[in-house]
Formats: sequence, structure tokens, C-alpha cells
Amino acid sequence: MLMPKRAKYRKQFRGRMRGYSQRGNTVNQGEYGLQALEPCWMTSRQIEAARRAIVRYVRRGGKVWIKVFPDKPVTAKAAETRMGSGKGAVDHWVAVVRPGRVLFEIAGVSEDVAKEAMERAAFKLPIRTQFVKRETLGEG
Amino acid sequence: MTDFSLQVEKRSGAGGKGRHLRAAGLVPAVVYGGNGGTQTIQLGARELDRTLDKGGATSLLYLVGPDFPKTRVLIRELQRHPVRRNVLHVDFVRVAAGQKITMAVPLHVVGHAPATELGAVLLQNVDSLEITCLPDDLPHAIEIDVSGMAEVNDRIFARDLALPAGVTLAHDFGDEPLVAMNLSRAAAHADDEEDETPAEVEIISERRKEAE
Repeated sequence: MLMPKRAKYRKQFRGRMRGYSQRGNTVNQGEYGLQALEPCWMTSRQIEAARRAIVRYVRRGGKVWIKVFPDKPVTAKAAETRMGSGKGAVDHWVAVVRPGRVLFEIAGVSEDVAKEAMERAAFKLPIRTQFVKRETLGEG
Repeated sequence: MTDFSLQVEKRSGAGGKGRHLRAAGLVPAVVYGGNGGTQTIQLGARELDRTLDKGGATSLLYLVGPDFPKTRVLIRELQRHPVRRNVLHVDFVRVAAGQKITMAVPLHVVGHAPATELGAVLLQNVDSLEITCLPDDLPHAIEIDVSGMAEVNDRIFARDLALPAGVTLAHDFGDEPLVAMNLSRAAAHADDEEDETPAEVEIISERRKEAE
């Protein structure tokens, strides 16, 4: 599963997820992509499950890019613990996803195969998504 | 090359009005460069979309309007909504005849690469190329023929491109390939069962404290 090799601090504040993804909102490495339509914290397990769904469907041929990285630690208190005594231990890692973010990209397969692969990946994710194609200059 | 014309109106005042314009089916824009100053304008969203669909993004355009002198321009920048992809704002730059311009044009892949039969994937690393030419020589797109890519790891560099007459590349790409045939590794990793327990993450701030 994806997680950072090193981090500057052990725990982080939760933060807000307002607005749209101002960067990483176009397909720029592959030919097709899966774009987020809602904000979420996407866990490394969800990203890995979606990646496996894509790769298992396309089998041979095709190249897949994961365009999000879970670099935010999420903490949780141990079960049956009384409140207080400070913040819990790091439980898992998430990627902060805002609407518009391209999550996965794929190249080297037909549009039908890419669409089906992305649909299967979308079932593993906690948000609504849409299938997008690479844009050339000026095209929308 | 076809020239397009767009009906525009002068826009008074700037800042905070964009949302109302877009709700009324208009797109805020700005014209600058050349001999004139900077002028804010507005134009119809549907007319702009139609022009862009016909290739207007990399073509010479004429801006015309009742209160606006006929101006020859190029689109310098298009801002789009991150999800809906509708145009939010356009930057037009004035073009003088006989004066060379530098402009990004799309790179289109044409032909079928035989190496794809060997399981390779065609990767396009560059979407658009910055070129320098006279306004009348400006091509809609630069085509790159991949039908000669017969082997895995074949690459096509910017220096291999056959550019139209009067067109030169604005910057040197060096050894960066424009398109490359890469072998897919997707299948090899299909059923990797990765370790589910998270490994230790090194915390830099704590390492510094220990060193002190």
C-alpha cells in the first residue's frame, strides 16, 4: 500500500476540503482518466483496491498511473479507551481529494476497455467519479 | 488557414463581475500586446465554443464589435472550470503582420505504430509544442508520424520532426522524447499481494531532536 517513506511530523491537523482541485485536474500522462466529482479522504487501501481492479481488468497491454498519493496521516484512539490523554496513534494514511482531481490515468488500451476498467475502479472508491479523456490544446 | 471572427463588446470595470457574465452566457476576456493597451472585453460563450471546436484555439482570430475596432489576435490562455470544463476566461494577444510570434500548438500523433503488436504502449510525453513563426504560417497542429516505430523503446525526438516551412521550435527539447514505445508492466504487477501492515515512517523532526 502507498505511504510516505519519511514525514516531517508524526501527526497532522485535519484541515478543510473546500473548493475544486486547482491542479492535477487534467489527463496529462495517459489517454483516459478517472476524475473525482466530490471531496474525500481517500485511504491507501481504497487507492490500492482501485488500482488492482484496473490492472486485473486490462491484463496485458496498457499502462496505469496513480495520480494521488496518501501523504496525510490519520490518527485513531485504541478501542475502549477513555477520552483525553492526547491524540491517538497514526492509524492509516489518506490522500486529500477535491472535486476535479484526476485519480488514475491509463494508456495503451481502447476507450471501451479503459471505460470499463475505470468503472470497476470507481466501485472501490468512496465518491462519485467520471470518466475523462485527454484534452488537446483548446479542446474542452 | 481559416481565420475566424468573434463578436465582442468592451467590458467596463474589472473584478467580481465574472460570475454574473457567465450566468448570462458570456465569457470575460482581455486583449493585450501589440501597439494597443490592455482592454477588458466580453463575448458569447456558445460562439466561442463553436470557434474552439473548429480549431480556433491555435488560429488567427478577428475580434469585431460595435464599439471595438477590428483586431487580429491569437488566444494566449484559456481558463477552464476544473470539472465542467466550460471556458471561464480568455486572454487574447494582438498580432502584427510580419512580426514573428511564439505560440503553443498541439502535437497530434498520426499513423499506427507496429511496436504495439509486440505489447508496447505508445506514450505521448508532450501535448503541445512552442513554435516560432510568422502569423500567416501558423499551423493548427504539428503532426508526428509513428508508423516507423517498429521496436520496443523506439523514441521520436523533437529534432526528428518535419516542421512546416517557416516554422521553428521555440525551445530545445534536447534528449527528451516526444513519443516513446514503452513495454507495459501492468500485467506483471496484476496480482501483487503487498504487505498490508504499514511500515515505519521516519519522522524527520524527531530525528533532529535526538541529534541535538
